[in-house]
Amino acid sequence: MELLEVKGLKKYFPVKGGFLSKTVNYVKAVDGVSFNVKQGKTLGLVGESGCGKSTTGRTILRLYEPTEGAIYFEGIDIVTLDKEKLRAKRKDMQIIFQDPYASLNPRLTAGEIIGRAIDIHNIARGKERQRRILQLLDVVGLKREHYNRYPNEFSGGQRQRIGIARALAVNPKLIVCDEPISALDVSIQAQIINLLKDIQEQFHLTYVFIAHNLAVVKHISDDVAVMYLGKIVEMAEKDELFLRPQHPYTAALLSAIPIPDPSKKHSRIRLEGDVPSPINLPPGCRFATRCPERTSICDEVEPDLIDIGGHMVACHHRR
Amino acid sequence: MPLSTQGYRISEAKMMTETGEITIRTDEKYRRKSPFVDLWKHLKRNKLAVTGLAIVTVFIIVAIFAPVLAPYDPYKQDLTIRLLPPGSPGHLLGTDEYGRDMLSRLIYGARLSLLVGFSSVGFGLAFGVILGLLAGYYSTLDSIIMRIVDILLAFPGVLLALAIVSALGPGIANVIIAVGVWSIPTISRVVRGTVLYIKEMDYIAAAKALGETDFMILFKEILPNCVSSIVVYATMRLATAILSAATLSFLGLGAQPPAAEWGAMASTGRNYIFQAPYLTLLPGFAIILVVFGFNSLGDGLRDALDPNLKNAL
Repeated sequence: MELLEVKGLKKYFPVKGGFLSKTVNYVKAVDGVSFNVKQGKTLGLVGESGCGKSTTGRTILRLYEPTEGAIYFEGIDIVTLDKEKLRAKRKDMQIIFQDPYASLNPRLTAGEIIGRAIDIHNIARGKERQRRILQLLDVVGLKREHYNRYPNEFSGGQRQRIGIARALAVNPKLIVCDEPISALDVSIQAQIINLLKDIQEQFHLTYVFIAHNLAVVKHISDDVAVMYLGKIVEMAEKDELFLRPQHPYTAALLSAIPIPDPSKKHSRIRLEGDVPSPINLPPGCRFATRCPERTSICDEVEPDLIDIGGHMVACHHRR
Repeated sequence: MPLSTQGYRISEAKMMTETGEITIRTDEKYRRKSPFVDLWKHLKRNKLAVTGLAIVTVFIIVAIFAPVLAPYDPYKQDLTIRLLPPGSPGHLLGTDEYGRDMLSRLIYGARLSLLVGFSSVGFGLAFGVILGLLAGYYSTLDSIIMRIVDILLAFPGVLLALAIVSALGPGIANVIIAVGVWSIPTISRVVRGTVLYIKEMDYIAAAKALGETDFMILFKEILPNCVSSIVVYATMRLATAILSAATLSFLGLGAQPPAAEWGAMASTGRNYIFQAPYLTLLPGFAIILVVFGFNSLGDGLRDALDPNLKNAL
C-alpha cells in the first residue's frame, strides 16, 4: 500500500530585489518531483548539496508551502488541508533533523521536549504521560536520569536520540529523516542508523531518508531516488540502482564511493564544471552542462522520467 | 568518598544488600542547577559588573527603606539653617535653600528614580517585546512595524520624550509614559533581531512539524530564548530611563518642586551654584553613580549570558 504519493511537487523560492523588493526571479529548489513510498518502506533521497532534497523533505511536511503539486498521505492530499486539519494530521508525519545542536530548544530539558510533543496532540496525561516519556527515552537508548538534563549537557549523538524520541512521541507513520547522521561522528553514525532501523521495525515506520552518503543510503533504503537540481534523474529499487546505474549522473556518483580495498583499481568518473544556478536553468537536460554523453538533443529537450522496466530514468540516451 | 575527575565531583555512596555491596555514584555535574547560580559564577569574575551590582543593590535598598534611612523629613523646611555646607553637624550633606536636609532628599530621590526607571522600562517592555516578537515572526507585519519604529527612532534622543511630555503636560506619570514610549522602538528592534535568528532554528521547524500553533511557538519556544537579551537590554535601558527622567525634571517638565527628585534638585540648585555648588553636584553625582551601576551591570550580564562565551570559559 502506498503511504505517501508525491505528484509533480514544486517549490520555488522568490528572489527579491529592487526598490520595493519586487520578486525578480525564482530559485527553483524543487521543480516537479514525483515518487511513491510504500507503507513500512524506506525511500532514500540522494544528491549533492543544493539539489533540493532537504527542501523536498520539508515541503512534504508542509514546513514550506508547496508552489505546485499534490502530496497524498494515506490517499488524502495534504496540500489542500486547512490549518486545523493539517495540525491534526501532523501527528502522523514527523521529521528528524541534520544538526542536533539546532534541533533542540536549549531552554527545555529532554523530558520537557518529549513531553511537549505528547501534550500537543493530547496523547497521554499525568502518570501515563510520565511513563511514556521514560519509555521513549529507553527506546532511543537514553537513561532515566537524562530526563532533567538540558540539551547542552548531551553529546551530538545523544541529542540526535532526543530528536528521534520527540518524533516518536506522537506515534507517527512517516518520518522524514533529513540527513540525520551527516553531522555526527563516524563512530556514532552506525549507532544512529541501527537505532533508526530498529524503531522502523518496532513501530512500523515509513521513512523518507535524505542523505548524501551513498553507502548509508544503500544500507537503510528499499528504493533510491537520485536528485539533481530539483529533479529526480533516476529512481529504482536499491540493488537495481547500485548494480545497474543508468543515468550518467548516478554512474558518476556511484563511482565516487571509495572501495575499501587498496589493491583494486578504482575507475572514477570525474564530472567537469559546476552545477548550474537553480535560478537560471539550462533549457534542455539540467545535467547536460556536465554530462560526458551530451549530444545536441540534450541542450534542446528536457528528458522526462520514464520507466524502462523497473527502473525510472530521465535521460535521452537510455530509452 | 569524593573523587575528582575532569573538574567535577563524583560522590559515591556504598549500600549493603543481600547480594553484597553495591556502589551508587552520582555525577554532580548532572544535578539540575538554578540558572542564577550559573549566572553568578560567570558574573563574579567581572569586577566592573560586581561593582555595578553592588551600586544597584544599594540603590534599590535605599529606595525601598527611604523612610527608615533618611534622618529627616525631606520636605520639612527650616529657614534658620539654610544652605548649610556638607559636613555640618546633624546634616551630613548640608541643607538646601529652604533648610531641607540634603541627605534625606537624596535618599527620597532614589525612590522616585527607581519608580520612574522601572515603570517606564516596564512600559517599554510590555509594548516593545510584543511588537518585536510580531515583527520578527511575521514577515508581513515586519515592514509595517519596523517603519513605524524607524519614525520613532528618527527623533533625536530626549526630543521625543520632550515632545510627549509637552503634549501631555508636566508630571511624573507623564514622564514615565514619555520615557517608556521612547524605549519601545529600541526594545522592539532588539527583540526582533533575536527572533529573526531563532525562528530559523530547526527546533522551531520541529515545533511546527509537531503542530504547535503560532502562539505557542512565539511564547513557548521563541520568547524564552529571547529572555537573556531582553534582561541585558532592559538593565542598560534602566540607566537611560533614569537619566532621561532626571533630564526632563531638570528642564522643568518632570517632577515639580518641591519633589525630592534628583533632576529637579539639580535644577533648583542652579540658582545657588556659586554660593552652594553641592546643591547641584550631589544630585548630579547620584545620577552618575546609578547610571554607571546599571550600565556596568548590563555589560556584565551580557557577557555572562552569552552562550558562546560561556562554553569557552
